[in-house]
Amino acid sequence: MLGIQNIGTYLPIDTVSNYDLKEKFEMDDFFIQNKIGVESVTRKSDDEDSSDLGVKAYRNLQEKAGFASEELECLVVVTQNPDHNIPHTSAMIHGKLDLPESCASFDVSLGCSGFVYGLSVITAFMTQNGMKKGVLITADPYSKVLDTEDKNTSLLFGDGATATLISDTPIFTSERFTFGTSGKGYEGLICRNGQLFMSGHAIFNFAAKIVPKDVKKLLEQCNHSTDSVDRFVFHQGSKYIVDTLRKRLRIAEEKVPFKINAYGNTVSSSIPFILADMLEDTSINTCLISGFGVGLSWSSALLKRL
Amino acid sequence: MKLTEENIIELLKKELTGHVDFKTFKNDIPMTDQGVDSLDKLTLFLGIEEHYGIKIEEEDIDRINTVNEILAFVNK
Repeated sequence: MLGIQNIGTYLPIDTVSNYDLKEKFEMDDFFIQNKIGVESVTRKSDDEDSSDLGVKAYRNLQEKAGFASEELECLVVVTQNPDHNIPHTSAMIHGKLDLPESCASFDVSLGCSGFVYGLSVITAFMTQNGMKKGVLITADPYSKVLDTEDKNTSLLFGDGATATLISDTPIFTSERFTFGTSGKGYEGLICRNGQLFMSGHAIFNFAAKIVPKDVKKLLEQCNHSTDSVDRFVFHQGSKYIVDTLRKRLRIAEEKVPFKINAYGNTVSSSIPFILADMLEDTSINTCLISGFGVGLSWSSALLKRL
Repeated sequence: MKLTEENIIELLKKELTGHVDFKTFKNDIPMTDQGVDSLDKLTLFLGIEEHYGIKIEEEDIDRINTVNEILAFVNK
């Protein structure tokens, strides 16, 4: 059975402190720490692009998991900020990593739901084609499209990338997925003329209404309850939204990690960043992951330790 | 259904814990000057929609800042 064997990560060294922007955006320490929950955001350097972030996450994965690139049969990249519109970023990463020609490579265009969708896509694709080793990369540096004058987005989004090794010797397997789309709300988070716009109201209402229902549906389908699942890893949109979901679902605080205070919302990378720290913790046997955002799109999955 | 001042305060108390002093809370002073920030406002308006079926659209949010303004809007 295929599943998650290991997760590599990459965060750029450069950061911008939100405390330095307190006056500009009229906010206090309480708001930074307890509402957005992001004290600083990571920023890629000018000479780094999305593919470079992906390559660095892959290198970190190789260090952790110790596999040879020659073994790789599949590479899937989740991004909506590709290096170029053409070609696909997975092909660029394939080239930079000198992966074998037999390795299938394609992109998935999704935002905050992208890791969960991508996990289903790569697992199904590999299963269908009898593959045993593949990598799912998430790399969506929003700094490429951020308006630094926009309080709604510039305080929240950080750059980062992850690389998840999918293999037949997994630590976590996925039991079941849910998916959904509310395409009428596509303008809630949109990039127009190269600049990101987010309606905080639309995204908040969407997440607060849809995600708890989706999580409950998945728990029911898997014969689980909020008590029987060890961790709930929600897309780390902001502390406020994660707290809102936790309260609405009445889940104990210690079961719902929020860890982005030092780097920000990394879009499709936010869930695997948290999962990477959980792989070695054998007290965690079941974990529900839920991604939601751009689209508007959502997807949840229940992971089980083998 | 006509919403009352008590309905709004009850929702505020239910949704927002810790940062609002309801003993001194005034209905004619902007909520944001009394410990209710812009994110809390979203939670309050979502609560009004879910509890009372009254939706406050995005374009109206910025101009509704006091409890009295909420009541005037939802009961119009």
